[in-house]
Amino acid sequence: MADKKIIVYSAEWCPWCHKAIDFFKAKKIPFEVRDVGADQKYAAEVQQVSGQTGIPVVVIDKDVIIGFNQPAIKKALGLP
Amino acid sequence: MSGTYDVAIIGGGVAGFSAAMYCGRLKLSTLLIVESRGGTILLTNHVTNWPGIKAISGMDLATNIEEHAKEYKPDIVDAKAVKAEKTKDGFSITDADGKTYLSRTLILATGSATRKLNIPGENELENKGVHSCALCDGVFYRDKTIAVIGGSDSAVKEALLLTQWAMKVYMIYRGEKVRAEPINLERVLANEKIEIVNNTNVKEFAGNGKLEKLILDKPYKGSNEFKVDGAFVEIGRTPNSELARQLGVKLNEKGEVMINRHAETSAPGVYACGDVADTIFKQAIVGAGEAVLASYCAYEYLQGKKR
Ligand SMILES: Cc1cc2nc3c(=O)[nH]c(=O)nc-3n(C[C@H](O)[C@H](O)[C@H](O)COP(=O)(O)OP(=O)(O)OC[C@H]3O[C@@H](n4cnc5c(N)ncnc54)[C@H](O)[C@@H]3O)c2cc1C
Repeated sequence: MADKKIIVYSAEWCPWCHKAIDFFKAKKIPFEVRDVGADQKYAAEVQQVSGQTGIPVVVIDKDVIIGFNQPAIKKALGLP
Repeated sequence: MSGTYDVAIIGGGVAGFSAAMYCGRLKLSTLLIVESRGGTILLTNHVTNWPGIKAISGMDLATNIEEHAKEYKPDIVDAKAVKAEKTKDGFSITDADGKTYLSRTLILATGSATRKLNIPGENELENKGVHSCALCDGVFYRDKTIAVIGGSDSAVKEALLLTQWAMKVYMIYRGEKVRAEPINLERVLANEKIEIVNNTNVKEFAGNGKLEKLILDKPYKGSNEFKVDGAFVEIGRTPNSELARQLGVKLNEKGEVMINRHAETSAPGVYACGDVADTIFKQAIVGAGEAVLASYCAYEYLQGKKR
């Protein structure tokens, strides 16, 4: 799990983005936040990566998970 | 705790966690089962009607109420409750993982879910131009033209929020007059970015892989085709009353759980509060008040007090 690259596409006001971020923080799993509100480049990137305009989007290596979908995140991380 | 709880609360929005806080104060052994903590209030960043706090985000308000409830150490299960049944001495609740819990009383605080228009294109273009959460997805519409569909106070709040990013926000509403709180209506009417298109229904979301236009039931400026970059649907909410239905609790014609002045439902030992109940004015503070009443009346019921 330690070597998986995790990106959370997020925005300051998005409540479920905060929940996604809190999830990784609580589990002490390192991740990178890309703020689509602060940087237009990331707004375009998340649409390209996920094919849609909803956040959060969590990318775990090659898995693209739309929304704060805990079961899918756990599965991608191999967590119980 | 194993065994039978004094009270099981289903739902972890404002109402559910307010009930958990109060049941804790009344020293009831409390279980709270929640599918998604925080609930509907997370959809707004600007709550200005919670007494004592001039302005707070929905996220912070929900977190504060949850933290307050946790001071009283309720048992919390993060799962969806899928089955509720009457037993000899109370109730049994089964969650989506198949685990069953027992309680002597039940507080339903299951809130509501976003209502859909159920028109062509809505599912296909979901999050591809068609959205239901301005706070989450509004940032994608910087300097764009968008439509909010609906005319309630929530729709007005969504439109106001979206003006932060959008160049132009149309409020498309089937009725004559937008039904917002006067203070919010004033803000909308004063906002130059917002234009209200009334007496109009959206019949279809159209676009190839992404929303391009709305099809209206009557022409606007000479055309039934209305070009937008995004649309936010806010046409009200439907009560999550499936568990109440299973218990045979009386519902009104909208599917809301009918409660009396004591937050009691038609079934002894079953209480309801917040947006799932048949309250005419659905606001966080109303749900919190009902939750406190429900907790107190459950407490009295457990003591054998008859009303
Ligand atoms: C855009 C918008 C803006 C708003 N702004 C304001 C405002 O400024 N001020 C204000 O006072 N109110 C506002 N409201 C209204 C307010 O959000 C609601 O009245 C309030 O949040 C309802 O709380 P609740 O706990 O009754 O229900 P909800 O918040 O809907 O919570 C229901 C809870 O039950 C859970 N649940 C549902 N079914 C199950 C199940 N089967 N098993 C387990 N858990 C379940 C859900 O996951 C959730 O945790 C706004 C609403 C909207 C839509």
